Amino acid sequence: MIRFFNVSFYYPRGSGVKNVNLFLRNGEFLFLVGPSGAGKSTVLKLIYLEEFPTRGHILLNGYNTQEITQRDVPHIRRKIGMIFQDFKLLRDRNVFENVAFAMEVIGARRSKINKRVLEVLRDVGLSHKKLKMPGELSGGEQQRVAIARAIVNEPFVILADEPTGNLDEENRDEILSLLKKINNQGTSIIMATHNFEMAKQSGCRVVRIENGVILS
Amino acid sequence: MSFWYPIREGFSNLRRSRSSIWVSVFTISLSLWLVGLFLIGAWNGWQFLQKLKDKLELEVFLMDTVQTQDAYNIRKIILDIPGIDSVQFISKYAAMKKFEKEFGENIENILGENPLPASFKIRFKKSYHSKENVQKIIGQIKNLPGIEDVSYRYDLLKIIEKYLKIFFGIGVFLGTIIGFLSILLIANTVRMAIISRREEIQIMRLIGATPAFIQRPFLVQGFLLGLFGGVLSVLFLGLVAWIVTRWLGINILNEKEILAFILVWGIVLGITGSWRAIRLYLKEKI
Repeated sequence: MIRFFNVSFYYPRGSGVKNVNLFLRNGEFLFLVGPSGAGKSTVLKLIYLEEFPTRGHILLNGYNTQEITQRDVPHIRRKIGMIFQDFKLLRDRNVFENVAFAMEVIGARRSKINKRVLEVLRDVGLSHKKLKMPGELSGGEQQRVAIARAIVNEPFVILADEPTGNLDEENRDEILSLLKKINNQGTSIIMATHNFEMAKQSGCRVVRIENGVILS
Repeated sequence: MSFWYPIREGFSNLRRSRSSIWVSVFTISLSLWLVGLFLIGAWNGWQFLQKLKDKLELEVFLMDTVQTQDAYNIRKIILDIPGIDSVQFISKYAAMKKFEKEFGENIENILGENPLPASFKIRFKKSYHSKENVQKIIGQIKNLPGIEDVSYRYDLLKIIEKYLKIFFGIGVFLGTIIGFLSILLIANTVRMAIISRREEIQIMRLIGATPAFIQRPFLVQGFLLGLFGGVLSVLFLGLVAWIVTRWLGINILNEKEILAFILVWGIVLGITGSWRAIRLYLKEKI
């Protein structure tokens, strides 16, 4: 469960978000739609604690941003999966290693890592490419690796920042249906996009944001 | 947390920037080598001084009026003074014979009499070598009856001690500067590694790695740089010692602790350098 209470955040240069009230139920799939610079990424950054509210507070799966210390941040992030437009994969590690990395970081056992990584690679349909390097994969496949990495630690929410921005229509649909499948298994998802049509067609709840203000 | 992860990544940091690694390892080893040479020099000088001190004797000359029996009584009194190791009595006759042996002339034949006084040669116990102790003992002996004069070559000792201190001071000064430069060099090498892994560090932060987890491979890298530098300089020092032994026949490296110290010092410099780089360049938001 994620809940924003009158959250405002300002960057030193001026932009940010104003008086955001937002509620994401467990297991919900929410689209955050708006033009670039509207504040979508800022909302996501506030959730994954890259930024902290200037005013107001956020409840994050039982944590209150007013009480969170820098020490807590890594531990909370382990339960938040993140997907980016530019995939953010490690170029010098293969598919398997990229996904395993997220478990190594939290100190999981090697045997557990091996089992779990194979499971999620199967779920995203990349078992056969586990030894390929990211450079050898298509954009859609790279994003599926990123999704596998995001879900490998069983997060309560996935934050997807324009995950289909770099993809063609076919790949975009594939990624979207993969995310829906993950959502159906119980993980909440917030997907930021400028593509209003795609959001509307999905049948999920859509929240519009412009100039840092939530419109609907 | 995986034990091997930071070690593996530390090695991988070294592999990724091969040329700069060897430049820094070589420079570190060179600087440690210089420090090591000074240490070995100072240590051998110190040993030499100690040996000299052991050999230095106090000569106590007796008045001509002192009879042999009195001399033995005085000797007994001196032996009871704390800090005295041995007292050797040299009679007037023995002094003359020694003179004859050393100079090839019988002084009695030349002068018609023996002007050389009887004397004691006194050695101090090792723990009583300090200036204060020696002066105290000399004071006590001077006050005894029948003592004409006391001779102790303290000036020589003082000069050697002074130069040794200067030499040691230069070593410490150079060591400090060189150590500081080594830290900067290691910090720079680790900084390059941090920059080249910036993307990876960002990803690690996003997926919930703790700062300690992110920092550890760089600390390992610094440790390895210091260790390799240390090992190389120990080899260089060993080489120098070997050459000196071969050419001059003196063993200057009796104390292997110096080598251990150089190795540990290298590691300390390595870790300090990488810690500095981490503090400066990994401070961004976690």
